[in-house]
Amino acid sequence: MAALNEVIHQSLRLKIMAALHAHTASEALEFIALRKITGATDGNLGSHLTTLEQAGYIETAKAFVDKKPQTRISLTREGRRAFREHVAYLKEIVELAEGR
Amino acid sequence: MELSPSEARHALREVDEITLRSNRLRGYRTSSSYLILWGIIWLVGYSSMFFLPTLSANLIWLVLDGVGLAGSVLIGMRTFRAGEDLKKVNVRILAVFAIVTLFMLATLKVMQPMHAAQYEVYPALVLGLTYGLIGVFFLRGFVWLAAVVSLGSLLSFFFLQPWLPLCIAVFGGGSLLVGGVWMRRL
Repeated sequence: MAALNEVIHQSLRLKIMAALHAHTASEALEFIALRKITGATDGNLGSHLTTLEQAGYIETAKAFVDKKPQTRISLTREGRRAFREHVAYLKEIVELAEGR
Repeated sequence: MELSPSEARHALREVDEITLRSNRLRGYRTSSSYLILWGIIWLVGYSSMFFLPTLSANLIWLVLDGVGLAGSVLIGMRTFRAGEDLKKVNVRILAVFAIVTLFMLATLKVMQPMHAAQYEVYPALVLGLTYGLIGVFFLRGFVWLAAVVSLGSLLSFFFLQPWLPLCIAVFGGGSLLVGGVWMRRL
């Protein structure tokens, strides 16, 4: 049985990873869109993004769009793999409990 | 640290909910460019029918539909860079366009004879139906678009027939444009 990924398991970080995982490898999400999807505050989202970036699960790119600063976030290959493994681990726990 | 089954279930529910929300937002954002493009095409097409009645409507729509189709493929190429996704999306765009066009041609044929106003309002009603179905199955926001396009066109047909092409330009094209801009800002 796989082990719990403590970086991903925290509630907001799990939401961030799920939101980014729903997009393809070539797509990134803007900070504002991610904030809307997860329902997090700016500060909270920023600090958890830093944790995920330090773990190598996400990457951020800053750019100016229509003269406004924009931060775009995407999953790394490692992040995509780690998220899938974590979800598989969660499913395994549920299936074991249900005796499947 | 070990997780209990109820904690695991709760986490999986959160993943499902956020995935759904993220997919929905992605759908709206992807749709916005197509709606803006087709909104402009409707505005130009129906306004031309109203202001330039001597010009052949078939010619106007042949040119505008060509522009719309090429533009849709271009939007697909810009939005979906990954090869597999791009191919799927462009095949779907062409398939939807072909199905809707064939359906309209077939129904127009069997409903003869029709007068000019019926010809003008019919595409708006088909568009309303298409958006209504997209709204029911995928993105709820499209239900509002369907309602505005269909009701606006029907009311114009019954009460404002002399200005029908102009009304459809405003209700049809305008609501696609406004809807597209709204979806872009989500």
